[in-house]
Amino acid sequence: MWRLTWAQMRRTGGRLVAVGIAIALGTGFITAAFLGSSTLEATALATARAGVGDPDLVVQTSMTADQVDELATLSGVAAVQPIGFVGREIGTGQGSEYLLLAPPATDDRLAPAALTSGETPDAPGEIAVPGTTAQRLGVQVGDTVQVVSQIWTADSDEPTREVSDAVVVGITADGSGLGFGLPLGLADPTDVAAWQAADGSTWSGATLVLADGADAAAVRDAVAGSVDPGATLQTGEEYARQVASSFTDGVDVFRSLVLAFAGVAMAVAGIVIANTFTVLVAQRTRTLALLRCVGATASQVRASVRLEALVLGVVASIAGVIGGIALGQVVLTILGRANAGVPLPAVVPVSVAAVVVPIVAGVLVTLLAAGGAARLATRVAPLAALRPVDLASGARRRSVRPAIGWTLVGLGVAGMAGALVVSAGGSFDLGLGLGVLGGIVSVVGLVVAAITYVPGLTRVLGRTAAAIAPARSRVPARLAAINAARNPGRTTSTATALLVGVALVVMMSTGAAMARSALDTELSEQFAVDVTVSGTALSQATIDAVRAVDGVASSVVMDGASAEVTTDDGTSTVTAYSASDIAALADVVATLPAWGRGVSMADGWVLAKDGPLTVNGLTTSGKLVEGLPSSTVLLDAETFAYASLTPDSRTVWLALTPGADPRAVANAVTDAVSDTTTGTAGATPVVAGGAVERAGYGQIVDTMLLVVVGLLAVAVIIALIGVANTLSLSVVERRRENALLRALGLTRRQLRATLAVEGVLLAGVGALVGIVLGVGYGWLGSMLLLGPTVGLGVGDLAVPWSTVLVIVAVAVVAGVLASVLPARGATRTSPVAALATE
Amino acid sequence: MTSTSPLPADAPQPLSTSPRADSHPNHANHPNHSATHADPATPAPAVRAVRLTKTYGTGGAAVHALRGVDVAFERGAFTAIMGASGSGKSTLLHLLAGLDSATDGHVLLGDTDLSTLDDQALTLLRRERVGFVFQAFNLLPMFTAEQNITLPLELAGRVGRGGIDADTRAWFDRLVDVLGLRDRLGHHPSELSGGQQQRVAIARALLTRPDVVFADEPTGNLDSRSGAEVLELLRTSVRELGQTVVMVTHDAAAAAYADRVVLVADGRIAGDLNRPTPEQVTAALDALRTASLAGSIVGAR
Repeated sequence: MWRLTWAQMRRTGGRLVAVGIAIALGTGFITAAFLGSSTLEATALATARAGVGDPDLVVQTSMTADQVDELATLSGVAAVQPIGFVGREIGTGQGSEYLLLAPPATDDRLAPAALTSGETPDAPGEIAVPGTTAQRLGVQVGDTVQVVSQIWTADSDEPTREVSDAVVVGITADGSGLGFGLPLGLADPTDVAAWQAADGSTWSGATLVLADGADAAAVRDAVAGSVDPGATLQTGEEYARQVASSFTDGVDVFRSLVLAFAGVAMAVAGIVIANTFTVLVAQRTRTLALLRCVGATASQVRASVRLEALVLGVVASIAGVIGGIALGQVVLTILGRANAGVPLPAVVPVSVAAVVVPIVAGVLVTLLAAGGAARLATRVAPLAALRPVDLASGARRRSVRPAIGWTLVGLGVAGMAGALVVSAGGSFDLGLGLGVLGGIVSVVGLVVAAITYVPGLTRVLGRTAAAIAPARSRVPARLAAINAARNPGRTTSTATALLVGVALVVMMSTGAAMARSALDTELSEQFAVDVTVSGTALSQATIDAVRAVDGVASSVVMDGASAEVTTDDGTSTVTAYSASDIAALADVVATLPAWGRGVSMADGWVLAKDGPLTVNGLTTSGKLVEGLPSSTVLLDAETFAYASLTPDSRTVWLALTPGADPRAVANAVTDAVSDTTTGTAGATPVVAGGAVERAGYGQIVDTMLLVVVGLLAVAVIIALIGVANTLSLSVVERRRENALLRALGLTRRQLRATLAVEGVLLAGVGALVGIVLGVGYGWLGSMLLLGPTVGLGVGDLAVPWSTVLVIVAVAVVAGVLASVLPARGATRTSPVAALATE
Repeated sequence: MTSTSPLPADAPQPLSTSPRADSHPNHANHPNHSATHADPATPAPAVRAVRLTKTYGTGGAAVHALRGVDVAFERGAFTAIMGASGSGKSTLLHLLAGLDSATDGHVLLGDTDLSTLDDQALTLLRRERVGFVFQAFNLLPMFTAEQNITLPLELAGRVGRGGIDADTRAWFDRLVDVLGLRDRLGHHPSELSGGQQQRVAIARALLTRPDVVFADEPTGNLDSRSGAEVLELLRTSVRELGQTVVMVTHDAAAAAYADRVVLVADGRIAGDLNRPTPEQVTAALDALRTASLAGSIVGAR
């Protein structure tokens, strides 16, 4: 039987290769998911190890400097290094940066920060800074920097600023030392101790190195007796693993998510496999029947098909795993070259799971998907060998499946409707759970019942295409429409494979679009001012540059002063602005109400509702304006002066041109500010406002969407392979028909057009149904996820038109491309040659 | 056998003699085509082969299907091409019809030399100037009889939104009545008998009023009664509609319906009979076989 199977596989090699690629894509995806997460874990562990060093013992508990010193006196302890750092602002003429500082390592095994130049600080007033920080601040070894301490005391709301000078004696390598990858500087132990005392902070533990020949257990007991009873004692390796796992909490979620998408890709591959095998068996009907005639048993025939699937599954899965590992290695090499700061492994850490899971999954999916075809093969009667081949078969409908499918759809829709009701009633988790369950059940139902609606839609779409086609192309269009609807089962599963991927992509895009529009609405309510630029030393040059930015429609400049305000709720410190140009202000702040004398405007933090508001002892009638920046009071210029306020800062408020991209404008404003400012510490103007927030959130949503769509694209690509496969099978089956048409005057171009239209119909139906479903599920998901928090209404459906257009374009182009190879074969065949073959 | 046999009741009614509709649009496109058979003094052939050669494969594996065939087929005549399996008769038909290209020599359809045409031009020529009736698989299974008949017009984009033009519609109606297909037009091929399927194929071949109708074993898959019916219809199309028909067959009784029988053996023309009886055809074939047998014995020596 093996020889026979092998011979048959060779005859249909091309088709099996196409299916093999589908399987390999899916298994490669799974491998990549495993490799990605294990690389993250390896990187985290390497980072943790680099941060921990190689201590013999790690103590975790809150410790004072004295307690750390006490550990050093224990017998058998060679060196002790405290865990933790103090944070200080380091400033130069070029700016300032918040830097974590630790004392230098007392032992080479205790995570020393590697020095790239200079030396370790060993006297008070000496400091070593990380290379990137030095670059940003423009300092070199020998330069002096300011160290700013902000000391909070119990009797004051304001911190005291203490500035001291320090000499840079060394530059540390980025990502080395106890900082766990964060930029870490070193300072003299005496200075660090003083800063720690000033902050009132403690160390979070200590790492120890034992003396040569010391009894580890005895030292451990001694240490345990010396520190807090609740302290954790671990070996260095245990501690590194614990730190690493705290970094990688998110990795498991990431892996599950990617594996879920890989699962979708495998499911789609399964549909493509099932489809191809069914047709392969149909094509071999006569061969199989002849085998049965000469004595092959039904189980031998079934075993042959299964063997074929097994070989295909194993070969393709292994190819996929190798491809996944190669891809992972390429990505890792590129990342390793681009990013020096993170200790990436040089070779991808290939775990057993990364190899075994995808191969098992690939082989199982292939075997399961080919199972139907194997059963079909056993139903071939020996007599079929004697009958002429009837190509018009395959229109059988399994009557039970649609019924089950529609039942599932009904249950799922009921579940989703219930979810909406429950969610509106306030139980978020129950609603979401019910919605997800209903969604999955209904999708499964729709896939199972696809045979009841996909062929009909194909026919409608085909007729429309034929009706709008010009007279000369009408025959190709009509032939394509008829051909696409001729084998409902195959058309359905081909379109369904694409439908699933497209629906998921559109669902995610719809969700993202709705989330973004909900965020925009929410943020524009919270931020009535698009962009604010404020600072104590805001120069006229900066104001002019900011006003000249493309996309800025109007602006207003105001003086600001710190002021005490008293309302019914109490007293607070706010920034009061002198609105000298109320008309300009009204242009910028859309929500600004009419303004009378003796009226002050305040935001919701200052004022809960309209009412009296006393500024520096001057009582005004306060009005609440939604969306002003926090702790803002607006006074007309006269009142501002009357309240004896002295301006100490300037502010520009900007309104964007409607339709301007908030992200681009916010970035341009930030650039304009930094181009016109030679800032000293604390004096750099701050850019904020609704546009900036919107831009930031929008970018997060877009990035997440891009990642998810990228992952789902694999499923779509697999489905498109299915379209090409189905088309080439059609060409083989219709060899004689095509020959007859060519004899009767169908030109090569018309034949190509016929196949192209058929490809577009197959892909188009899948894409269209997928888009409709995706928009629906995306809308429902957003309602359940975001509805309760941001008050998303039923009518807030945001269709991601650009995505929809892209998908339709991809479907059309892919349909045409899928027909290119099959059409080449079909047009090369001479009409005579095809008519001659039986 | 050569006299008119009574037609089956369900089908073809005898046509009143009628000249070809000379207002046909094709005539404008192909002026040579209108050099009609009306002038018997200069019998311009409908299709002609000149030193036609077809070789499959090369070198030692070369098979010479045709070895320099010269033959002409007159307009308005029913010619049968006969020969044994592998004699080259089917190859000759395929080359004459523009389905395949010759290794050497020329095929002239009217004044058009097919060997100078590319695939696109050949396809358009088949669509507009040639009709086909094959042995089997003549019809597309997914189209009705009517759609199958009008297929060449559709391929040419000549079926507008309101259907085919009035002139063609009248011709279509006449063909359908003559061929007895009126109540079968809405049926799919699977719902038609073999004879009915061949009659649909004949209607399709005649609808474009082609220069030549080529028939490749049109009765090969039919029982004798249906076969006789199809042959009678082909002869009627020649006698009464002025159509030119070239038919390949290996059946002497079928060949006897033709005005002329061309015999092919070993890729060459081996005989030419005018209005033969079935007995004459059989005798000629026997002679041919004997000669070929003798030749091979001589060759063996």
